[in-house]
Amino acid sequence: MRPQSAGTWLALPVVAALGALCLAPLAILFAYSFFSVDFVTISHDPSLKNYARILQSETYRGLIARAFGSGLLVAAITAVIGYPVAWFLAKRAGAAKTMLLTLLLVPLYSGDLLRIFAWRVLLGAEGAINRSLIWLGAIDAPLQGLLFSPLATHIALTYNYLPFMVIGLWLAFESLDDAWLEAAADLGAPGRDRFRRVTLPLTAPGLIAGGLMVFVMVVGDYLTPQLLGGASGVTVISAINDLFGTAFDWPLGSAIAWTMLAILMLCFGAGAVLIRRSSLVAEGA
Amino acid sequence: MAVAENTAAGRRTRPLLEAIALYKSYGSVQAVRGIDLALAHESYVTLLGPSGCGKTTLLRMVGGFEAIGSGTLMLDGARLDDLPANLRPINTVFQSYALFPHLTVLENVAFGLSYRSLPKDRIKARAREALATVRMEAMADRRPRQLSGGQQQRVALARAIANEPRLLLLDEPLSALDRRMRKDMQIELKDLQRRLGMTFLHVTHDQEEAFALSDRIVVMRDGRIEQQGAPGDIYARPATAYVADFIGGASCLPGRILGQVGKSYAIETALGRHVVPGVSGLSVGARAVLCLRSEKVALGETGTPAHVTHAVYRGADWLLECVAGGQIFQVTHVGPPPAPGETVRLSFDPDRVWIAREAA
Amino acid sequence: MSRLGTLWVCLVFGFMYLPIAMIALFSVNTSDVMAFPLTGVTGQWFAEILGDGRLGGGFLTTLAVAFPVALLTTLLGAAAALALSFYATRFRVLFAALLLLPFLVPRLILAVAQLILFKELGVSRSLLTVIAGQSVIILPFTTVIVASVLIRIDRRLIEAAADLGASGWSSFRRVVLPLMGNGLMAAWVIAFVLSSSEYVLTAFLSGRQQALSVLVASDFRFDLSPSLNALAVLIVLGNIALVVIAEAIRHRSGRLN
Repeated sequence: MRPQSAGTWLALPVVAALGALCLAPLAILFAYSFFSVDFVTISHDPSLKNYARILQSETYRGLIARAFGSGLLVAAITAVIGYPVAWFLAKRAGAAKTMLLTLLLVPLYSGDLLRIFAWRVLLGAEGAINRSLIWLGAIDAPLQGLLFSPLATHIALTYNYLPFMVIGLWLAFESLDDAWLEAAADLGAPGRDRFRRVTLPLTAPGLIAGGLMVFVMVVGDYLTPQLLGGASGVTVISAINDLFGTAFDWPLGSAIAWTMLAILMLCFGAGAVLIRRSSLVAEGA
Repeated sequence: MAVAENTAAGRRTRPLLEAIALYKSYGSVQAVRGIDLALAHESYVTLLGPSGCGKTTLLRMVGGFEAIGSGTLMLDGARLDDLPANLRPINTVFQSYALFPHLTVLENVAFGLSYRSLPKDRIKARAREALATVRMEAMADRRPRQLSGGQQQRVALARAIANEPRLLLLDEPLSALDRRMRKDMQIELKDLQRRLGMTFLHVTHDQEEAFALSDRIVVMRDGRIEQQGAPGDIYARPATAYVADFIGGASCLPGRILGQVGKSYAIETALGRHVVPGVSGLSVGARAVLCLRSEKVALGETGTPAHVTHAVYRGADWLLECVAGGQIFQVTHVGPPPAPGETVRLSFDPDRVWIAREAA
Repeated sequence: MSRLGTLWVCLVFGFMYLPIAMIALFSVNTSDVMAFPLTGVTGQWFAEILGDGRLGGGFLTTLAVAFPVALLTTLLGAAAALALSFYATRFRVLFAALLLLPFLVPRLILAVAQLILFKELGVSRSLLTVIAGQSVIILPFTTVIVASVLIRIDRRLIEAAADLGASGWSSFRRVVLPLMGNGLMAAWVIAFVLSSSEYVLTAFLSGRQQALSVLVASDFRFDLSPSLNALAVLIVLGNIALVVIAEAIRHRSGRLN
């Protein structure tokens, strides 16, 4: 069997599985977004009612905007925190590199709920952080705003997705040849310029890729805001969750879901174009 | 451009670069062990040696990419070692070229010029001039990955000289090129250096390359300088057996000095006693080596009997390997060679061979 | 610069492990209030968790899901990685995009979409739906793991095999498969870990039998007891152990290459 056809045969079951369990469901979801609910039954007459409702509702628009706002914010924070870590891993860690990378990923494997639970413990009024601050004498009474607030949500979101940003950036740093930095110094560039003119542009693809990953995952995370955000914890995704649960309106939920998907796809497209352009520029000599 | 300035400087007698008692270790490994070096203005100097001899470490210390362990580096009489790399008036052509992949050729060449307080249009013009010097103006808007190895090499060169450095460092710049291109580039480099009147410090492991380019060769071994001098001097009068063999190849016979005769010595070796010119400073009774270059040994009617073990055809001549008295000799022979196994007679003119030290 | 870097990395790793460290601390704390100062050391919370029969059932369900998911995703991931790495199909980029899709779609959206699919097909929720749902989102991970091992395999080994007379299948079986073996094992372990800790899809697609992650969900939300700390520690330790094994296996495969 020639390699070409072997490849196709191998890909077939995977494509079938993904088609059946990913593409097909999303397609049906799309179809559903045009249906409407009639008490407890779903009427299959297509209409744009749901989308109109979303566009007109200030609440939904606000929720969607907030989701993407959080996504951008956490992407930015993880980029700033993760950038030096990725540099260190690629350029300074030496033999400890693989171990550190593995260690970085371990918290990921503990599961969503566990991580949220841990932050509940840490941030509560009786929690470790408050207690430590009181014990240190930094504050007199426990800070109430630590838990059940946007702060808690975003701390936990940063915690959840930092490893992904670090991995994306680390890959970019691995392909950053030290000789380029030496050449820049040789030609007269001081440290700050070496960063601005060489390191930053050449790690840009990694930043964009990591940023996209974090962005998507933050937008899709409804558990963290719901369990840590208190009153501010209502998200567009949790709205979808309710519409498929107690608030029973599958078509509306589908429409909101697809609205989110559509915006996400636009973001990916933009990101992909950005990456292509910066990689074309940064491709090795 | 830079020519007038450097010619005036050339009239000064103080060397351009001075390295005094340089040492450098990496952990327990001593890469550079006591180097004293002086580079004259407008000269082409090569650091020659096998890998691991410390030549690259030395170059990188001059460039500022490695901190010196101990010792002093001076450029034009001013201390160099406390200046960071980006403030030294020195530029480097890297072995991997290190062209910035995200910039065009022109932007690469202009990179260092932005630190010389020049107006923008002057920067572009100067960059184009540098590119013209290496005949790469046509490629100004291409990106490095679109260029061949030889083209990238020339752009790297242009990028370095555009800044008119006092000293140009070249770290095995031709090692990635094929033989033909290497020969062409050697001629271009030498020509460029003369035209610009700059001082070049060039690192290589290729002895032929050093000969083609250098005004002066510095032969290095194990972190030390074995010998330095003009190519002709080093070839005709190697200081040690190592230099004799590394430069041009020689069969070195161990022997003992019996006495001194003017500038020559009487030496006793397995091939008998001869009076041969040699390095100065050898005492009677000292051990030394008799260096026989292959072209100085001839097959003839008289001489030491030897038998031929190998014959390698080289186009213009044959390189024969002969064994006499347990010692291997290499002999250059023009014309049809004797067959392996045949017995021949080896002889040499004592005035045309040389006595060197066993070791530095 | 390096020292600043080391400091920053230590801070970041400290941040990453802070919650886990807290949980571990309180899992052995005698007080049933999760606050400082610590009052004493006890094993009671672990005993309580290990003795909870309800959780035992959940644990078995988790296993009943994780084993098939791990097997399925490893096989499919290997097939996908092979198709991508070795046999360059014409639609390589499209295929890669398709593989990434489950990772890029918000998990809840995929969950509800699959819920609708199953409803339309008349398939009632059960362990099978959970297995199907989880497999799709874990597939990108196993693919990446196996692909990373495949990339390190020297193509010339296959050429050498062909030169010595091996046919396509034979050279695969005798050259690629053994070298890939460790990647497969590592992928299996990671898939197992990811499956056992998955909540969102599992919650949506579960039938009557509920996995551990779903069972304790309500406990985590409302009934915060220190025994949950013990459970958390057990889960994290279990996962760490599995991941360490996976990395050790992958290291072994790295050295073989």
